[in-house]
Amino acid sequence: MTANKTFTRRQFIKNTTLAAVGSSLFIGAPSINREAHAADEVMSKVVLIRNKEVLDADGIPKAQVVQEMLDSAITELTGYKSPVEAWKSIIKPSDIVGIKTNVWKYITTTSQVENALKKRVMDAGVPETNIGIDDRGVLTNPIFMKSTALINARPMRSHHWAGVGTLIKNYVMFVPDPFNYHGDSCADLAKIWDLPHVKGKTRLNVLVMLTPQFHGVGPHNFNPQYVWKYNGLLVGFDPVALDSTGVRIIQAKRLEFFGEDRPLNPPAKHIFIADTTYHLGTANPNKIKLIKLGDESDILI
Amino acid sequence: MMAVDIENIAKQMPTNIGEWKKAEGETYYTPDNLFKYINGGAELYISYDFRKALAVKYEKEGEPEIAVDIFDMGNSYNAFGVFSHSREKVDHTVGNDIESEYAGGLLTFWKGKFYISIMAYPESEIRKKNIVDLSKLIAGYIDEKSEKPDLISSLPSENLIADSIRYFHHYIWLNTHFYIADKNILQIEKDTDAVLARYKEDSKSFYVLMIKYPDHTRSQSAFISFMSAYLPDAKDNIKKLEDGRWSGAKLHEQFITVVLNAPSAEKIKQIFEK
Repeated sequence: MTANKTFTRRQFIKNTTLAAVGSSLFIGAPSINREAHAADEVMSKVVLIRNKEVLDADGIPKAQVVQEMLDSAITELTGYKSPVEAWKSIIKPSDIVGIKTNVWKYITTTSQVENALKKRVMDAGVPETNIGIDDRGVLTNPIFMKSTALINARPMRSHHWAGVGTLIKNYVMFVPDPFNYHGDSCADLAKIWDLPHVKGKTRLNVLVMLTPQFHGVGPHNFNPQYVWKYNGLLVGFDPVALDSTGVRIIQAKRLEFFGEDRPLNPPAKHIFIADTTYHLGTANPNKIKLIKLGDESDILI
Repeated sequence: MMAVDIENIAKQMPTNIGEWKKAEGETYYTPDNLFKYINGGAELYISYDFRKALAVKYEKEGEPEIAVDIFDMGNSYNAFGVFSHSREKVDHTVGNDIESEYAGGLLTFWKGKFYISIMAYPESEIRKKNIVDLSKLIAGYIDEKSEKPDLISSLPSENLIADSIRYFHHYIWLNTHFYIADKNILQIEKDTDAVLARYKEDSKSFYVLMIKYPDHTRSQSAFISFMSAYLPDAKDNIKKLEDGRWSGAKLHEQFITVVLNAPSAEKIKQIFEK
């Protein structure tokens, strides 16, 4: 998906249709008429929930608060009054459910988020023996191998190859050769979502924004000074809309921190290619219905 | 003065730091296998002519480890380059004559041809103390001069933000700090020295990029490439861009100077004259 045309800062400046904040996300992405698209397609619903009390003094998520946040988000998302009803609308008791998590040691999905998801999958009637939680072992995990449903949950952070680590990217472990997807800033990651053992199985996506990382430097691409307590979760059905929303928050944080619009490098083009080439979801903010719940201080979006 | 090697540093590392004990065995990495250790991050070091790395862990039961990574970058210019890529604000935690940056449990610094990172995350008072103590010990093992690239001294000094100076040999690192283009239109390669610095005037930033090519043929080719991709409509190689800010470039022997985001054409001419 490598474009031959050179895309310069100059062209970006010329493109006056892009809003100032977050616009640099589109650097390197194929040109699309987002306004036109907005008119003829349905909106993707994204729930952003934040709670100042979610982290304890040591920065560890509080399980009860995480559960409440997820419950509020899914009821808002589905329109059901109770979280169990909401979960029953997306998971059947006969489902075999893989919760795809992320174990990068500095910022994980967190066991609190994993357990909150697992609890509600069980409340939907799925026996514990039919629920698996895994990241790097999904291709050999018996639950994942026979899964009928997937829940995708991971934190957002800046990333060497992809610009940001996203929900779309979280499925790279569903292929035996992840390194073959690193080319051109991981442009074609969404292709993985079309593979037979993945396609159509994802029932819910949770982009963990409790402590995102907005800039990655240092030997392990981790630097505590670029991690902040955002205390949020982004929840929805459309992984592209969630990633697009998450990366706008990351970019806004970069603008706030650096005092100037410093684009992600490499650009997070895989999010927009997931939309324009693979039609996995929508990256266009104009087609995303963002619902904000809870704390709105320093929300950045 | 005898140059110290990384194996020599390994031998001198203390067996414990505070209550943290050195884990069994240290690990070495070379350009061929660095990616196994810092998955995704190896390209940065390799672009700076990385030679060898030493990874040592200090452990205490029930506590986060203290991870020490020491990179031999071949020469002090490149050690400074790697450090300059990631620091936002220089402190002198390790010593008055050593540039370092400490934040949130991560300390990085450079001395001689070595770039050093010590991390204990999450941060605590005692872990911070151990990190700082260890950094001073390691700095003491290195008995080399810390010289910066000559090109830096050519940067205009007026309104310069000293902690913003970056030194690199790969266009991707230029884009990290000031996005120019998704392709290497300035033809910055491994044998090319580049410095980028930020300036502030009337609360607005502008940038000066200076590049030294191996010869005039290369600088000329890069100049033509840059002008045709970025400023094809410039008059006297200076142009007011669509955001109201000015950019310009100058070719001089084997050097190119680019001024980006400047407040006026006069400012650019003033810099070029110097």
